[in-house]
Amino acid sequence: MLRFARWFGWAYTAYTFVFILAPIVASLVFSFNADRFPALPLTGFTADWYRATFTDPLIIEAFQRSLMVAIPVASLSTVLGFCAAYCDYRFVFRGKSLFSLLMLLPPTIPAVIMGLGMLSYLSRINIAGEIGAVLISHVVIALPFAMAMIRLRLAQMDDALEEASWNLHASPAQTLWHVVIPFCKQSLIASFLITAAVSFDEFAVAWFVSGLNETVPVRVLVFLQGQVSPVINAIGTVVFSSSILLVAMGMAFSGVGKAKQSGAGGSPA
Amino acid sequence: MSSNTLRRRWPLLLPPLLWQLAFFLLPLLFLFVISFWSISNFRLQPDLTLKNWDFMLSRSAFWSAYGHTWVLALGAAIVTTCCSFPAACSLAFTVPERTRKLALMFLVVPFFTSYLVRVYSWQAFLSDNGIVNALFGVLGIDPLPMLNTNFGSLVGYVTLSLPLVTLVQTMGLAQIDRSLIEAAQNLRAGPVRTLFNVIIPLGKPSLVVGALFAFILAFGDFVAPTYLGGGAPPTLSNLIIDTTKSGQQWPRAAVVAIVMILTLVATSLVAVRLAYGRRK
Amino acid sequence: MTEALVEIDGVSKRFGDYTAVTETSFGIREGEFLAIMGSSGCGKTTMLRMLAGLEEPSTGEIRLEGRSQKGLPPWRRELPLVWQSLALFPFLSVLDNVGFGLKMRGVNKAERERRSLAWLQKLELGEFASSNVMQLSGGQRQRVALARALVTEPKVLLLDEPLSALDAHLSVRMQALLRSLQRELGITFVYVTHSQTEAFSMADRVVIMSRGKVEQIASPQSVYRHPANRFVAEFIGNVTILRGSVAEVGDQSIRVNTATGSMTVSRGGCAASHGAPADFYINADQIAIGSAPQHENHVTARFLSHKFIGNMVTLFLEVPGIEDDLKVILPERTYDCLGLQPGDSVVASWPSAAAHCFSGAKLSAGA
Repeated sequence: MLRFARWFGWAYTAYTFVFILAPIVASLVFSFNADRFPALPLTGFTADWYRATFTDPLIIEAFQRSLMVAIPVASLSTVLGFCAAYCDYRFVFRGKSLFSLLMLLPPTIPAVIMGLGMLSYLSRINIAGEIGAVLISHVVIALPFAMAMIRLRLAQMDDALEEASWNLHASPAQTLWHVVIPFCKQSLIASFLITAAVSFDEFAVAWFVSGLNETVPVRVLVFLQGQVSPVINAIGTVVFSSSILLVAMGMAFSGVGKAKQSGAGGSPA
Repeated sequence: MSSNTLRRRWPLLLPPLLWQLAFFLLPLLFLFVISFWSISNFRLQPDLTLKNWDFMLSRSAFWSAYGHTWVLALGAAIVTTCCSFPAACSLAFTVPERTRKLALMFLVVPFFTSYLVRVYSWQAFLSDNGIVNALFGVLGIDPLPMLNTNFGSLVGYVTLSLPLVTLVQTMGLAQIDRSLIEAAQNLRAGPVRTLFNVIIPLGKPSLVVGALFAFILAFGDFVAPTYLGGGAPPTLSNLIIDTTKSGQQWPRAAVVAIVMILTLVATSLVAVRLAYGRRK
Repeated sequence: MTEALVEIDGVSKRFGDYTAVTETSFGIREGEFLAIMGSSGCGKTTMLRMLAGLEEPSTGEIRLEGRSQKGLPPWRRELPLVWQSLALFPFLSVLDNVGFGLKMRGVNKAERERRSLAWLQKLELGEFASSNVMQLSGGQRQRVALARALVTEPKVLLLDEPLSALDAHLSVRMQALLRSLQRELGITFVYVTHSQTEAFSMADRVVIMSRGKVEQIASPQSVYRHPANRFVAEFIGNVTILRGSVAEVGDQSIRVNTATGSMTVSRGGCAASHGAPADFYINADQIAIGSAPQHENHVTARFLSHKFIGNMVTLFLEVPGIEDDLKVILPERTYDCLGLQPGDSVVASWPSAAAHCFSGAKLSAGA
């Protein structure tokens, strides 16, 4: 009975993963399918859709724009996320939980609302419709991910590490630079990669604020609003591969599954 | 900790604080403000009028969209919670630590990959001559309409939130003291009674929080109801997009946005109370 | 006496409602090995952290070579600390860990590496200079932490239970290393520990703290032979405390009436007056066991149990009328010759020089 339940559980879990991965795999398969319409049976192999993707100037421009946004977004949200995570880790101050709430809340606000808010606010200060508007919005959305990842790493830091640094004549600023940042290095890299992926995939807010400056996912959205096009599968596969690569690298750097390493010392008695 | 060290926290605190104040809190507050503004010559005019509120709240189309969104989001929360619970139990209780970590990683990855493309891909599965109906044909089942139905929307919502909900549930369930489950089994509680009297009550916070996430994600999503659910009747997100994009009626869209935020806040408060309230 | 290198002057430390250290004053002499000892929560670590500047005293001040350290942040003090957890930087090589303090003082790279390497070689770690600290064994890390603290040639080194994570064998070797290092360098060591063995085997002087207060400061021998009060005696645990009242006051000794009879106690420094209640203690290793009294004070007791500590044996005897067991420490050989069985009746006797009143006590009737 119990063994049956266990096997059922595993089979069900496998099925769940199939559900999660099915659209990703289907997109990959259809991107090479000769038929315009995504249907079974498959009609033959073709690379036409990729050719169409990489020769479409709109798509190329969108890719360039996406990169131009993703890299500054990743840098800025990692820096700001580090500041926020360190403040949460190190300081005790009034309104700290409010501060953390303000930092972590954005992903829970529906993207459409964020988009509308950003659009009306940024057009009031004359930034809407520019690529900078996408950048600003994406930092707001990506900062919480950066903060959470770096905060997790800081939680693994032995309190004595900073004290030891002060004790060896390093000022708080020097300690931050020579001890805290090196300690968090891997999570900073991970945060950079994952926030880049967040920005690279974000379409709703970007759609609202980007005006004519479409990023890749906005281009996909525009395609989606039009007629069925297998080009979406080709772009999708390219986008998927790059985001999965970014996230997988990020996870590897953040040391998910690695043993906790605090300061290098014996375990305190 | 160290009492006399590090009083100067402002250089680190200010940049993220100012950024989120200026570009997160202010835009949301600004939405509230413009819901009282008016439009003249297609331009936003500072004003103090209840016209927009009156216009939106008095229309039955708004309330039917509200009801539709609510029901869909609630359905998504329930379906996602039920779908992910067996998998979460299995991951939390029956697999070794390493396998669990690997599985959780696989759950996190799709969260950061293009939702749009996944939804587009579902169209290929769900359309009348799509993959699922093709499989049904092989099995001798009559084709079922799935695309452009509420079922289609639900598939999209589950795609969106299943990884996150499974993650939350697995982490919550994994924290349950295993000895309690063993104790229940020693006391001759069968698997079903163990499930309902031990695992579900102890795992309740993670179940409720997971369901809340699913609700929030579905409540705000416009992609699944548009491209898998057919877009009619519209959800609140569709309403915002239509009002903003085609009508340039930002103040009216702002009214919808504020009603949505209030609904989400209220739902979250109820859920948190449900999750943590009756303990201690 | 102002020759003290470090003066702790009326220092107390409160955390909210909790007082960790109360109104404490003592001096630390140049070149001495001072152990601060006490059970956990006695304030010893707080004291050390105040010296390093990681906590600011609530009242009073600490002076180093006569200069007040008040308000001086930790990164401006010259009091390196060796942490219990060692707090080595896991992302730096052994050499860079040791050179960290020099780098922060602006010493150039070549000079830094030369001095760090010299210290590593002194501590037999030269071959590990470019290794990652995570790859070293516990004892090796310990020595890296020492080198890191000593490379700037401080006058005082603070150590916070650095050996508590090591196994017994390694701990003994490190104790020898620390002691010889301290002698050779002539640096003042302030060593916080809860271990009596560590404190007594290394220190020139021992500070015994309890509940935020200093109970006694003295050499290990005199703490051992002449505990200042009941707390210290019980903490060291090598004596039996008896209670009675003063019957007769002489020049060298006093007579005390106890529940098991009258006993002679050496007077030491305490002022005693007739009829005052008196606590006194008997050193466990100065008591003789036999079938007849061998010294002037004696009691008849029943043998209860024994416990081996190295090559010594502690015997626990039940004495009628006394609440605590009488503790007797004998060499193992002597114990074997006695051939005692639990329940046997024995006579325990001791010279009056083995019994003392507490050095800090005033035995007057009104007190």
